[in-house]
Amino acid sequence: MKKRIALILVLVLLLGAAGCLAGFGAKREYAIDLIVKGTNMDFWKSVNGGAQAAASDYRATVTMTGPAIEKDYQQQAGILKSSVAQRPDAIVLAAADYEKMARPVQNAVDAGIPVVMVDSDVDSSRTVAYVGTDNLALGKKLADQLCRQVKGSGEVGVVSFMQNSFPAIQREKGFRDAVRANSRLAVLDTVYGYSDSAQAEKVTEELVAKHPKLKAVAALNMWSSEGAARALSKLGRKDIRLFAIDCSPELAMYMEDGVLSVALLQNPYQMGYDSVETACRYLRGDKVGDKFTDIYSVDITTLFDDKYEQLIFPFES
Amino acid sequence: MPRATRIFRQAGGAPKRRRPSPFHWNSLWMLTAAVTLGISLAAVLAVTKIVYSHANQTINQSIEQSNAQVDSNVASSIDQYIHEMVSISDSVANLLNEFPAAELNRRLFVFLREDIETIAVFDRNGTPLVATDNRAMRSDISVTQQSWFTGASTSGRRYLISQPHVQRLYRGEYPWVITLSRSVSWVQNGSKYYGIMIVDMNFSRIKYLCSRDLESGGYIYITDQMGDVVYHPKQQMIYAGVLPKDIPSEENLSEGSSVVDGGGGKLAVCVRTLSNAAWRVVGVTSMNGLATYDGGPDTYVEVAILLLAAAILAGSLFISRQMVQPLHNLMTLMGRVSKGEETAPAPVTGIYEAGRLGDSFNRMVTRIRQLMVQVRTEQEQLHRSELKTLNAQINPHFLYNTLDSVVWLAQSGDEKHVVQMVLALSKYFRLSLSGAKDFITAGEELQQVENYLIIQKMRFGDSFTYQITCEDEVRSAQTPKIVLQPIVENAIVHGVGTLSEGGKILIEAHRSGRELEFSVRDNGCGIKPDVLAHILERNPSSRSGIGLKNVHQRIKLACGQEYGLQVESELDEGTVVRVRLPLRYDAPQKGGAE
Repeated sequence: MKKRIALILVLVLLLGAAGCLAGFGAKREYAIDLIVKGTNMDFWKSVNGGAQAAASDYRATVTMTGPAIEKDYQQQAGILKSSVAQRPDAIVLAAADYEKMARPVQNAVDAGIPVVMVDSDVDSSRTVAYVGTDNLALGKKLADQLCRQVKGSGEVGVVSFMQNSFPAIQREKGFRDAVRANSRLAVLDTVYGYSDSAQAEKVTEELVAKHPKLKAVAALNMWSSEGAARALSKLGRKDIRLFAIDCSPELAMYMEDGVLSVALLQNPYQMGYDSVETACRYLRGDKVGDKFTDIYSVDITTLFDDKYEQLIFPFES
Repeated sequence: MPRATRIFRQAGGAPKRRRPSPFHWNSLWMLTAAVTLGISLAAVLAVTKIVYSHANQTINQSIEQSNAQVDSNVASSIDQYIHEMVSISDSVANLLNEFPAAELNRRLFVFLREDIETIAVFDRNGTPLVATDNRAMRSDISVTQQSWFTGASTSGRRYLISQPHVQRLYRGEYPWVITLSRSVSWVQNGSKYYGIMIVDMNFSRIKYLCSRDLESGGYIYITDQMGDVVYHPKQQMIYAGVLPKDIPSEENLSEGSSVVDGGGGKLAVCVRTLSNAAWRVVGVTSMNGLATYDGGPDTYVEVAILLLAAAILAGSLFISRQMVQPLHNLMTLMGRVSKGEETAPAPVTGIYEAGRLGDSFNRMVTRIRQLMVQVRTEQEQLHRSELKTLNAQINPHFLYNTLDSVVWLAQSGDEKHVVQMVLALSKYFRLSLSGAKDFITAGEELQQVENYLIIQKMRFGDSFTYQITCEDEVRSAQTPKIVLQPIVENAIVHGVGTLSEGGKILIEAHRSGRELEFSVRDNGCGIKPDVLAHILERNPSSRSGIGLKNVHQRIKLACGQEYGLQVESELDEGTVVRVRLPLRYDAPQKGGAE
């Protein structure tokens, strides 16, 4: 009987050794799923670029998934669910809907997968952190620029992108509050371009046609801005000032044409990098918290400053 | 461990009782196993550490060398590339003298290549004269405000290479380029013209040249003299304001190869300054030694160490088991033997020393057992011989016969002989039954036998004579009692008693070396040789000479194996019986008697 005990002792030790091997023999690489709102969109490509840079710095593998273009939340919820089934170490998510994505996100957390929110937050306290722009501040900054350049009374249109998108709501709230506080301008009812520049162009044209006293338009994301800029350029209405959030090379062209007055820049690359960094540091056991990424304001005089041209024009080498 | 197992089973097969446990913390097994394991592991770890650090060092050295090598190659390729671009601009400048602008526009396309975005010539007012692209250039921007234009016209250098910037010569196009600009002059229609020529390079060629693989995730980037990045594999990341972790700081960029700290480890950094552009080509590799190779060799080392540790553990357990198991068995065996259990000595196998120990123990047990048997037999014999002594002391036949003789003498009125006989008888019994003493002096023994002879002589009607002599020296020596009487009785009954007259018995006591020797001689009929040969052997079937055998055994028991009787006899001549005893003057302890 004692012989059996000795045998078991040796076996246990060998198993322990094998366990150790599995543990520290294989250098652990984190697998992280990055779920965005539209994989074909430049903004998210840039986010992915930053995410991949962080992945190579933190020995992680980041896989970007999501609907090809930004649509309703259901498609994204399905993608999140199948991602959870693959059991990645962490998920970095840009929520397509602030409220409706809360349940799928909580399901992921219940399954033991930490979720870091990037760019678009979700209505849940159980996520690891939010990394992205402070959208309230972004809206307020847009209003400040507008109020500084558009004096007197008149009407201001708002081209947003989604009714239930949390960033859209926050930006609009920040914008409206600041305009109300600082000027006599009247902000019209918001129109929606659904993150589609053609749609945004259409609603902007309607807006211009409906409101002859329109003095300025605030566009709340890149596709809204592009659509609005195209509409105003097509209509030849340089008297209606356009204030945009985000700036693409196309928008830079409109700024050079004098259609776009001010663009606020976010830093999607930084969002991608910082969100993946947050996820990796959380997995390592570090303390992490929310992180707001940088906001810059550019106009025609600063558009080609090194710092801004580096952010606006993608370095595709 | 098949052998050990078998022994183990044997030892453990006994009924359950308190057994010494081999798992006790200070048991030999545990201690040996722990010490062996500790020492071997320490040795393995030490050796591994030395080999590991040596390998690390070697690998780091080779990383540094190969980094420097690759960096130098890339630097000369890029230098060559810039030189190529300058040559292209030279060719275009020469063509300006040969063809008018309109003609040249059609010929310039031959210089187009993948890595050249645009080649263009502007006059001093910034008006485009010649371009590789047929599209119309934007008129709304003034190229004279651009740094590449002003720089080329004012600097004394032959050409100028700009920082990376977004070129915007065509509407809606914003490519990232590096602009080579130079001032040019040409003669047309007899008058001399001045202008600025640009060659816009995109990054495709530079990226290709810098993408040479460095060891272990190293990379090459290009920086200008101000420290601004010209090209970096993570350019977009740097532009987004996120500095790569493993980028060396500006003060570490000294020409040549060096090792600097940065990004959580040592970096091998090699800097080469170009001759055709104010650029520095920097190769950076992290020096992680063995860990460089994706944890591959690392894992092998760990596997090897762990397997070795497991093997050592198993080995040390086995070896110490082999050592301890026989001892353990021996302990169990000794415990049982000490409790007096009847167990056959178990064979002890295992290591040599333990085997020897077990053999010795087994021999000892066997010997003890033999001695115990011997003691028991001797005790029995002693007991028997004491009964016989008692028998001899009060031989009833002798008493009856003597009393018959006394009665007969009394009837015949021989008072004198009656008195003499009764006196002798009384003396005889007084000595025979003299208390519990086993030993008496030789004088007393002779006295005793004389009393016996007096009685017997009277009974046998003076048909024999006797003589007793004794050396004074041995008179007080000690002798077991009633030694001579059975011999004399034998001499009378089987010797002189058969003669009608002239029988003689000589009894003598003397010293022979360190022994006391009695001799009893008679001139009787002697003993037949075949009887004589076995007369002293312990053979219960032979009834002859039983008195002699008894005396012989008693002497051996009381004095030792080397003492006893010697009988010599010749038919019709007589018999000599010698009694050999140790010469002692003090009575020995009562040896072993009950």
